[in-house]
Amino acid sequence: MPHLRVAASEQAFKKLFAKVVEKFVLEKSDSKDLGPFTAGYDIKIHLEGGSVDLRADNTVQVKELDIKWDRLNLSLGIDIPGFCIPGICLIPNPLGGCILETPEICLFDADPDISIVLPLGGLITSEISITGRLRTRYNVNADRPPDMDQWDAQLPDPKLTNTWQLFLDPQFVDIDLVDVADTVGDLLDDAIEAAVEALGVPDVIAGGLSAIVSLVRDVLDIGDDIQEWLSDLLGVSLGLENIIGQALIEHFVTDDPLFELEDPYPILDKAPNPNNKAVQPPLPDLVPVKLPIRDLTVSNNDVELVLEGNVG
Amino acid sequence: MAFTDHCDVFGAFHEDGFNRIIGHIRFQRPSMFNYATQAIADNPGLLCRPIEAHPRLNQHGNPLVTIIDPLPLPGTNFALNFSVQLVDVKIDFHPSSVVTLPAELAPLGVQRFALSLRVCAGIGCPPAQVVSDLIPPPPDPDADPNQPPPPPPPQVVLPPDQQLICVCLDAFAAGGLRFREYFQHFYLEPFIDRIEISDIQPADLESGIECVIDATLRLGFLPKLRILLEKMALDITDDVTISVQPKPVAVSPQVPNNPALEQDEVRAFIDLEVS
Repeated sequence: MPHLRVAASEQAFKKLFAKVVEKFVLEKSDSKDLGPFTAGYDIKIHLEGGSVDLRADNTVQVKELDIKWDRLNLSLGIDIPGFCIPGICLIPNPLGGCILETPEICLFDADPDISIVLPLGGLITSEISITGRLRTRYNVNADRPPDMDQWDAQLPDPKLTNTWQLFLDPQFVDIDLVDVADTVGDLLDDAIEAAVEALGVPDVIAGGLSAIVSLVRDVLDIGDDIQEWLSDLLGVSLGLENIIGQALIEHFVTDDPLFELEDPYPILDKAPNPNNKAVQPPLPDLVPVKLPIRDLTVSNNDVELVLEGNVG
Repeated sequence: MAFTDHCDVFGAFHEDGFNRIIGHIRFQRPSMFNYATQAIADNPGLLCRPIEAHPRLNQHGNPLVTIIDPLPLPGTNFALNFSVQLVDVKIDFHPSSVVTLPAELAPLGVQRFALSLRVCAGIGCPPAQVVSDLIPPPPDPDADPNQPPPPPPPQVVLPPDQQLICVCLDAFAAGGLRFREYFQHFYLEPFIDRIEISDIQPADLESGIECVIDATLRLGFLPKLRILLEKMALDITDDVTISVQPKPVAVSPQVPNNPALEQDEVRAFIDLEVS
């Protein structure tokens, strides 16, 4: 029989999960130079829905957790290679030179030449579902010097104590982080045309607006599938999947533990030295009493999770 | 039936684990179990029982013993060194299987624990020659009776002989565990119903010693063993932390005892307030 058994009900998990969903908010902004253009984002997300389920096959399922984009502003900065149209001589001078000449026209010498901000907040949906098995692992703190004792190890910030860690080992992960609505294509096309119009390109430029719009699309490397391009831009090039992952998914599927238990575990706090005397400076406090935890295991059925372990 | 049918979190600790905990407390906080005057603390080899302690305690400035005042000799300014040690502490949750209780406490009641310990007391009886040398002379019969009396002499602690005179008594207690709230925090704390020591004569001497041990346990030792149901903080992101406050489940027909002492375990039924 194990020395220690702690069971947590599925109801307790649901309470914790509901509070995580309620309180989770992430705001972040950044930009990246992607060669021919720059892209930036300004996001604010929260969570809605979803459920957590302890299952009879010793797995835990987080299902259909929605990531709601309260704000997702994508900014694109396009720097079109500049060029100049030299002046044209309208009235040549028979003696040489030119009497009347049009001025030289230089285009696209700003950086960026075109700035587009796409408010995508309501047009992106994201959902995550994970099924995994809970596991324990003993983590020996690699930063702790070999001669450091258990009390000195708790002094630095972060602590250098060893820990028992509880992980969710994923068996099935379904992450749909950037699902772009169909209408985004039209939105992007309209934004590009508006931005190009705003440049005020003279009619003398061959091909006019349509040529520049085409140029902008080439610079952005937008193929036929705008949704796929945008998903790739947001998720991969701008790394939003990693950013959301750092804030959220790590808690479920990566090397970050769901929960850590210090080992040895303090059961009695530090206390004043019983030999203190009123007229003398205080003596060092009594160090906390710590219990070595051994053989920690975790399992679950459809109603509760059970942690079992021994005192070393 | 699930462990958590009537609570969010269920915790159970087997008596074998609890006895290991007591061992760790003794090893890491020996001053809870060993009391002695300064002279004995300075020379722990005099103690009735050697103290086994964590070798690094000394580096943290932690004492092996709690210093206590010497035992005054009535009518004198002299005092004796002495020590008291609690050794071989064992706990046994119902039903009784580890501790054999004396007849006065047996059988162990339901929802109760049995505690056995050995109390070793040592007295530093000074060498006879030292006592002889310190016998005060009579007052000077020729002294001026109108002179004010001299101030009382300071207390002198008599040096112990080469070793303490030691006596060890086996003590037993029956008690329980309860949740109690202090300062809006819940603690799991032990309490004692009754204590018995091995029979000694005369009976009133036994009763007197039992009184001393009982009061020492209730007032000094057991309060230091309270365990706080501590609020936990779960960091979700750098900015988002969820606070989990454990609270014991109220006693009800479904949870008739909380904490429960049964099947050699202490069992606690806890609900969580998440905020």
